Amino acid sequence: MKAERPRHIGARIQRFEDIRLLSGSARYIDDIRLPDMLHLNFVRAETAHANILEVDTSGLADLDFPTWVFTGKDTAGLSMKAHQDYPEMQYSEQPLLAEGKVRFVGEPVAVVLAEDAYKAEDAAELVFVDYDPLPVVGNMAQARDPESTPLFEGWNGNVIVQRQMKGGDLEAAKAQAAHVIRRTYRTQRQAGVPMEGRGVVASFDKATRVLTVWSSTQMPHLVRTYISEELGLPESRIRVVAPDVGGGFGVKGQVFADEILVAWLAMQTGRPVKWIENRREHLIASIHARDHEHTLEAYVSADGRLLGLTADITVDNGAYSTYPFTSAGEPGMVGKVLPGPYDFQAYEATFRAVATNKCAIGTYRGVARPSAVFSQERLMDDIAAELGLDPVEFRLKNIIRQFPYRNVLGFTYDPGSYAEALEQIRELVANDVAEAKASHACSKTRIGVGIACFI
Amino acid sequence: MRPASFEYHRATSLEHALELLAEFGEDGRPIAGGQSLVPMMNFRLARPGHLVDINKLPLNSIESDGQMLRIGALTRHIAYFDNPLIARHFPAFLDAVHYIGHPTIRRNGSIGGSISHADPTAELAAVCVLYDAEIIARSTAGERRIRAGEFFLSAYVTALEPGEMVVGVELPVPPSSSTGSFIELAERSGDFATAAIGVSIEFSSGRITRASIVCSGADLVPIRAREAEDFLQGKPLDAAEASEAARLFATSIDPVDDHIASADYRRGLIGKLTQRAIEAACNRALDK
Amino acid sequence: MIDITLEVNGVTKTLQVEPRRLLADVLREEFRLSGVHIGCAHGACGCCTVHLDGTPRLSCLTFAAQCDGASIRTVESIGGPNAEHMLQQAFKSEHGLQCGYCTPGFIMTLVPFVEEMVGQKRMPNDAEIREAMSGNICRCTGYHGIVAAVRKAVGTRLESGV
Repeated sequence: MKAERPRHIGARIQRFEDIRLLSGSARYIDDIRLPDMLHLNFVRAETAHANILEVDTSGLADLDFPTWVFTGKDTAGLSMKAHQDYPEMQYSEQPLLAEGKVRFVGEPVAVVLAEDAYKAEDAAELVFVDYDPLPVVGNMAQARDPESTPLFEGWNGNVIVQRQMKGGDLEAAKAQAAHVIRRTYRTQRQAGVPMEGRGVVASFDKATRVLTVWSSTQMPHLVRTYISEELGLPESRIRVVAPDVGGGFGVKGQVFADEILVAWLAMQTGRPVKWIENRREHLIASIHARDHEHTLEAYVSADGRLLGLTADITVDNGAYSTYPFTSAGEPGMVGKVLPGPYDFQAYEATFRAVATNKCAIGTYRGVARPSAVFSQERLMDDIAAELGLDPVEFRLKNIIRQFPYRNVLGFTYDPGSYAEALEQIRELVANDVAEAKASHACSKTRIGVGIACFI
Repeated sequence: MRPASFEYHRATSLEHALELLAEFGEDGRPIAGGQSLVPMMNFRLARPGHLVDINKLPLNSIESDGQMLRIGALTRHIAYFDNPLIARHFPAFLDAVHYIGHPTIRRNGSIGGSISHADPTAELAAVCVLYDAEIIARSTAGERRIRAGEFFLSAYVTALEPGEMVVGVELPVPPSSSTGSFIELAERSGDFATAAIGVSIEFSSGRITRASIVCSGADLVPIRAREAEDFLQGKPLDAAEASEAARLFATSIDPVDDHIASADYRRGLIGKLTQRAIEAACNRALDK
Repeated sequence: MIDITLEVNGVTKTLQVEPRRLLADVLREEFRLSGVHIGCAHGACGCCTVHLDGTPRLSCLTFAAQCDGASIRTVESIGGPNAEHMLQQAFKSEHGLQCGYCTPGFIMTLVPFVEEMVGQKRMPNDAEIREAMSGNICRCTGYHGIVAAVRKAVGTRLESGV
């Protein structure tokens, strides 16, 4: 019997949605327009860490147009609860609107609603917040200092969670090593910046008691679940719609406090409510990523075999734990991913998330793996350099060849062509590598060739 | 990110515009392309109570009598690209315009708007200082001519008084035996410059008779590299002295430390750009 | 409030607006043209590009009040509801879009550029294409498909001699 070849693999397939997108007929969150809709503007913290002494909204009384204003007092008790049941994890919640204190620049303190978006912004400018500043926990080192001002009451320092994963006999690996290579790698905090920012529209139909929420989200089902749990509405009476979304990249892969808040506001005011994030809000207060520091120590035999690896991983999590992956997610992912495609059976990773007075970290393009693989592959290059070995040669010495492979943490790798792929790459870039080597004699322009492997 | 309220007025003539600006004083601003002003207004960093739209005024022109080049305030940045006068006598000017924003910004932005806004790294501000331009300002009190070196006072601050607006810029035309270049470095193409250097060199019989060098990014306004200019006077037109001229300038400046670059980096960058700009100008002349 | 008359995609309307209303918002709301997108509201991204009296213009940096008597075109007038303009078709075949949010801005910027190249009877080089679109940011495609779309559109026109 003749084997069937899949019809579409390798074929050029046209997309279904392009005509709508190209003709301007798509419907993104800001294109959702409902009668009697109110526009929302946030009053956000302009200071990184402070107690709130007073939120003065009296200025709104003088306006000649109607407004609605809400503060943390009105939303008291409503919060994002993103916690893992690890004994090592310190508990925190993110209030929908700041209650008593602010923990990062951009944290929502109050909302002002008006019938026109421009007027909502005018009104929001009239809200004055009086702050009593607290010492700012600005970086990982400060967060790890047990004397640093805790971000949350009852906390001991600002390490949110610290855990370990290990496998094999690290002591044996250390004892056998002819070389110990220790390096620290740092990746910087980034914002995801899809071309379309975030946005939420919510409408509660009094007649049917159905809440409809539109959100520029990648997680409509989880948004529904969380709204149901937090606002006490059955899921069957909540409809969450992800309209056309102008880019997400993981940024829109969290359930955000403002999604719950806009839904609640629609129910409170009896009118549809819309919030559209502006670019400044996005950069400051949506979600950030990749703020990591990894200290790796590799134990290598005399003939260039990687025997074992120790990793100490810190993620600067920002102030709040995000839903659903929590603060424990990102550092744990690094710990899991670091062994990579390499054959060694001794490993110990200590990983932690620390709280700082910054925007929360969340999922973004690769989710911890870009930072982890950066460190892993930089380490491979650094070991090769220290041993005087060609970086590809060194990787070929250590890459997994026997399948299925049970890695040091107990994960099984299905068959793959790791070595073959690496050898093919080497062949494909042979000319580039030769050109690069030749350029080193030139003082003005030097070329480098980088190779990275990852699972 | 939407502006605060303002009243809008359409000027039907220059006199009408000036009357309106006199009436509104500090609370009034002219608006042309809006490419610099409106972003500030959307951020609510600028909140003029009155905007006077001057787009219909006949101030869009580039003219020369051989000695002076006169550019109307409403001349859009793309106009310079196919102007033979600019290409022939003001190569640094033309180089600089390529760095302004991006194509749509260049179609709509004006020289009057750009220099009135006085961003520390505005290319046309640097060009005016480079060529010792005179900025022509008008108000109901009459005309005032302000030398470029005295026009830019600080970041976003010019010598314009309330009620005054720029109507044109005059630049002395360099002789035909002259050359120039402008090089800018920004984090991203079209971004505000980290630093930029403009050079204009006059020469005779293979020697530099006059050098003018402007730098953006060393200070809050474009500054001239006097030490380097004096040094180049009389030197051969072959770029051999470029690195020494650059060194003299770089060691004389005190640039800022900020989130984009350290003072040291800026100093190094400015030195390098100065050297390259001088070399480029000399090579251009020698290639002719 | 101020009275203005705008001709948008061939339809003329007189309306009353606050002077501070951005052209982008007026086109989206009063004219129901959801193809105009706002990405940054400060002139950096190009998503809001429209044609004002035939020239590309950032509608987030334009007050509607300034446009009294002007003729405006948005992406909805390019190729109709089925995106039949050859540049739109080229974007589709060359995978020049993913989420589509930046796409109308690119189309409005590049339609005149394609016309200019066809008028000069030549294929632009890569650097020229990238310079022409340097005011439009895309976070999805990495730009290769967009450059390919421009080449395809110019190429098709030059070939057909139209």
